[in-house]
Amino acid sequence: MTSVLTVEGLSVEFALPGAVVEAVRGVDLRIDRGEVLALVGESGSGKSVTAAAILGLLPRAARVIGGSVRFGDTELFGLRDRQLNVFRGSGIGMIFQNPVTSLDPSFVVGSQLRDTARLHLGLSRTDALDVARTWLQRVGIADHDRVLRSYPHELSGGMRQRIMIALASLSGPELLIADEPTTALDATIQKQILNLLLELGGETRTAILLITHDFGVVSHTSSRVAVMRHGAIVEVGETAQVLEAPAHDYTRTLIESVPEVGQRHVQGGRERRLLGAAPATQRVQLAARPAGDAPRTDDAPILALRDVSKEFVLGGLGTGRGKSVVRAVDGVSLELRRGEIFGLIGESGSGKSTLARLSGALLAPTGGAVAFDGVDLAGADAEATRALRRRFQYVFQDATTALNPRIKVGDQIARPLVRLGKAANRKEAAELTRRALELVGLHAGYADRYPREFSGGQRQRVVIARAVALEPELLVLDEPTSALDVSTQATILNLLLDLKHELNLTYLFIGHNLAIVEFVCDRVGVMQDGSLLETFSADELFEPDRHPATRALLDSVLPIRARSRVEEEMNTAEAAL
Amino acid sequence: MSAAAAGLVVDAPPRLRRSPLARLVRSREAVLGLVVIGVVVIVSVLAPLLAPQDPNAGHPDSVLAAVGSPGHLLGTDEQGRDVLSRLIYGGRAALYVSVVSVALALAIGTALGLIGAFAGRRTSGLLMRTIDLLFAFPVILVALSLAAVLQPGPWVLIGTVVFGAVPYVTRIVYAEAKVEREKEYVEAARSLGASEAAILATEVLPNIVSSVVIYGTGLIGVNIVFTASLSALGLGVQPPDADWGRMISEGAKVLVTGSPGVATFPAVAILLVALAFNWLGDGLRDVLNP
Amino acid sequence: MSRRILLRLLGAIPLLFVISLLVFFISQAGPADPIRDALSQKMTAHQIAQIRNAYGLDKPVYEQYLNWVKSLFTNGGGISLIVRSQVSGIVLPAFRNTLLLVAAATLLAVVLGVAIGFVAGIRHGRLADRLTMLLVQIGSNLPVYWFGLIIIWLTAVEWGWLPAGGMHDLRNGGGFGDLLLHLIAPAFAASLVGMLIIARFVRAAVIESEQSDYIRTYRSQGFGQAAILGKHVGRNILPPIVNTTGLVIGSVITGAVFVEVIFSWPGIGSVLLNAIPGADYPVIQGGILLVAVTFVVINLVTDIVLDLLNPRLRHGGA
Repeated sequence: MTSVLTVEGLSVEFALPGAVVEAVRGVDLRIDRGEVLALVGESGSGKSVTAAAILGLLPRAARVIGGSVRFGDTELFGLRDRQLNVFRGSGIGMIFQNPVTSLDPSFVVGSQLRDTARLHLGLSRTDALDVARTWLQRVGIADHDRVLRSYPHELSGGMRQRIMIALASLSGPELLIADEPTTALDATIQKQILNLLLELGGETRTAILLITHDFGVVSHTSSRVAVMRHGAIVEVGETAQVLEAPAHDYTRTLIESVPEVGQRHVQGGRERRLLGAAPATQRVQLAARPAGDAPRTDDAPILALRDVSKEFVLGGLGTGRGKSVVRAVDGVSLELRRGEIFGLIGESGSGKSTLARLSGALLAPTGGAVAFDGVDLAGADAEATRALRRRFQYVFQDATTALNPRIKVGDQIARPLVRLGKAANRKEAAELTRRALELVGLHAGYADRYPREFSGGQRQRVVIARAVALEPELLVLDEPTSALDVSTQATILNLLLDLKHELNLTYLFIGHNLAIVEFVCDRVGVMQDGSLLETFSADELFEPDRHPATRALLDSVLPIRARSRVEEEMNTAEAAL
Repeated sequence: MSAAAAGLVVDAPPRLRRSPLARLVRSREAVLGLVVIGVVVIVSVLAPLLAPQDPNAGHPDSVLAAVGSPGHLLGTDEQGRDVLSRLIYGGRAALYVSVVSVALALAIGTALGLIGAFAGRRTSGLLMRTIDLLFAFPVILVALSLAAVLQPGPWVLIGTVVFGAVPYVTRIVYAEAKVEREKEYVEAARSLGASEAAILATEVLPNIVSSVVIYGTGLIGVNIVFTASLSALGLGVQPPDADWGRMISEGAKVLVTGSPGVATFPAVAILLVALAFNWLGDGLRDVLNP
Repeated sequence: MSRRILLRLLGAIPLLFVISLLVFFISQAGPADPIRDALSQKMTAHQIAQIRNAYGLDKPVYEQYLNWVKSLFTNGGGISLIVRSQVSGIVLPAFRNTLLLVAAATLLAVVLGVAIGFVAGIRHGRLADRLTMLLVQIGSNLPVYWFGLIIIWLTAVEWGWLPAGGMHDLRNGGGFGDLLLHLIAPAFAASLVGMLIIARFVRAAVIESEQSDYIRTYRSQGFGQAAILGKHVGRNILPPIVNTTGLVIGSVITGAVFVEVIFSWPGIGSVLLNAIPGADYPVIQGGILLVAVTFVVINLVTDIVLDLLNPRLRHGGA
């Protein structure tokens, strides 16, 4: 029996000004009826380009230069748009990554569903609308009529993605291509959407090509997996097999880059790092002169938040929108002990980013107080603030926007050193900069370069270097690895753990991935809707008395291997009651 | 020493970069633009040395001489004045007025735009709404008003150009500054002790300057044409001075009666110089935003 | 939504007030004392003072302002200092002619501009697009004065299709068709700048729309090129078009003033240009005020239409 999709030797080229880039090199794929094939790779691997090439949806600059794409018995390569349209939608459906921009902003959702239904099923307007309604139900949307009359921007991310799934599925395609369908969604929603996809696929024996960078997704959904790197497939096989015993080094790296739930960086009293790297715990001094104060040994919390609230006012006079008040953080109290790594986790809209900014003194609270080492930040005058600024720093999420694109990297580290009095003059600052760069693993000579000349991971190292050059006591890290590829993420997390010991730091670590937060942190706090629901030691993640929201987060984790291990832990903990 | 400092870095080394000047020269458009502008500037500055005749001297006996006549390479106009000489002198006012007024508008517009982006919501809202209202206002009305008050002359031109260009520049700078303001490197600078003023000057401004310069070249080009047209209407440079714009209106009557050159040569000159500034702007865009 | 519209209307009032103030100050700031210049050779100081009094020029500034504003509504805007008849009698007929020209030019600018921009955008990157953009670039940098002359030369002298100027054919007494013939060339010349502005915006909007994610979604569902173009691209580029029309009208008005001189179109541009050397302030003020107010009103209408078209505002979404 012929496979639903057979790809052989597909090669795609991008013609950019001054260069020709081979995005896809000789890719072979095969998907059969009812099968779920996961295509895994990091950014730049060519996985999305491959998907787009199948349906002939490549951007102008790209060209397919060879290979064949067969849908059933029909060769798709070389067909013109009009001929391809026969297959698009009704034969092969596609779901895209970003539902915000993938739905037409000028039309209500109902009209888009209706038009698609009319196009493929040849129905009248009213019949098509009925079909739309039925499909909304199938994808788990309850309030049909309201949703049908809504514009895309009025709906949540999860709902938009369900609608995209409905749009792609209602014409009954034999193959669904889902390009990172859950990357932009929260963890709890992610699992629901994936399960929905599996359900729909199972009912109709639709083949699914699922593109992702997350091996947890792979493990949860697919029967077979193909790993892509630099445009070529490096490994392909049955999912269970590949996950247990990956044949290729790259696959192994990808799998081991993300910690599994239940793993911690301190286990049995010994330090561990991801990818089996050797931990570095030796104390390091950056400045030539030793730090003024002796190491503190008292128990006073280094950071104390007392009933902190933050409100934002949106709109109002002059902006053309109605005024509204958003309470991003609502009465949060928290104490950070010296030397610990405290993790804060929550879904989007939980307020964790705002809380991070409040803790890093980037924002002033509307209520309550933030105190660093006993000093209330709001009450401090300019001179005191300057002195305080040296002692705690902020590491941003996206290094691309956290660095000034027009200023040399070295200057961005050196200038604040002089400004805040850490270095007496430019020469000292330059020396300190060099040491900081080397500490984070960058060659000191790179100080003369501009941010755009670095890779994403290197840029993040620069951001970290800028923060630690001041030799602060506390670092607030706002999802420091979310914007990075999985393999780079692992090395940066290792670096952060090493630095903690080398510079004797305390961390407030904001994360969105429970497994990472559990691995990196000593204590964890869970936020939802602006409130801090609970705090607990990382060892106690599986205790049965965890808040329901925490358990929901735990449930939505997609483990890579030993799917049952998580359940095992939870069962053991429950049995102990 | 940590394992990281021992040089066990995973990432690949960064690539080399080219100097800005080298990149500029690679753009054919920019080079072409620079050459044309350079020629015009040199000719305008050295006009007294280069013009074969006195541009304002009329030769009643060689009125409307044809192109290529002896002594008058491009012919003469209705009053017998040498077209070539007038052409050489004619760019001065246009260049001077356009460059000065655009520079002024850039300075004012940038300042206003930055204020709008960094000021409080009320101030900013009020400022930008005012600017929006002024933005599309028919500039000709301003020209006419200024002419009524100041009497026609170069100041009418400068005032009109500034009035027309400031809202345009302000909006652009405001939009870009606002975007930059939200970027994390600004927050980082704050957390690293920089004052708002310092942030404006040392962090945000460098990211905006290149845009401003590029738009500036475009503005100069547009306004060379516009000021010439205003002079043609009689609102700018007054007779008997040679000015490309005035030459067009002076040559209007004879355009259809067999001496199209009198009005057309200056029109072509205006077109070329304006295009040159456009090309320069395009070339700069590639250089400044790699 | 209606609250929004009300706010817009209210916002226009201070603007109109400021404009009237500025226009009024033209006469205050002008160098010439028109009475003295126009009449001084023959009159005694006493007679000059009497005339001054008659024109109300000896009253304090704010009273003069109020009188002037009042005269706009009751007295036809005052008396021209040169022609000695009511300002409204001079300005209004001319304004009507200009309005006609502006309307025709705007129509041309929008229709041709959208067409050019659309075609260039769809054929993005190909020969038609590059050629079009080259012509657009040249056209944007062309002196309108000269362009108008060339049009006259071509259409009236060389090919004899259209009349060489003026508004009506004085011999035959006019008629609608005759008016149209006289209107085409000047309207086209006045529309040039505006047309090219629209063309650039539309082209950019078409290109951005075509490369957008939601168009990609439609393509992935098998919608044909025609369906995509017509309904979806068109709908999403409508706002930028309406948005720039305000800007376009401003440039069309500017273009009209130039064009009136070249084509001898009896409009307000010619009136104003003639009034300036003579420092005929009442006429200058009346004319400028009229055009400025009209412009503000048109902008207001455009903004309101834009609000009505914006789905995000209609449903109060974020």
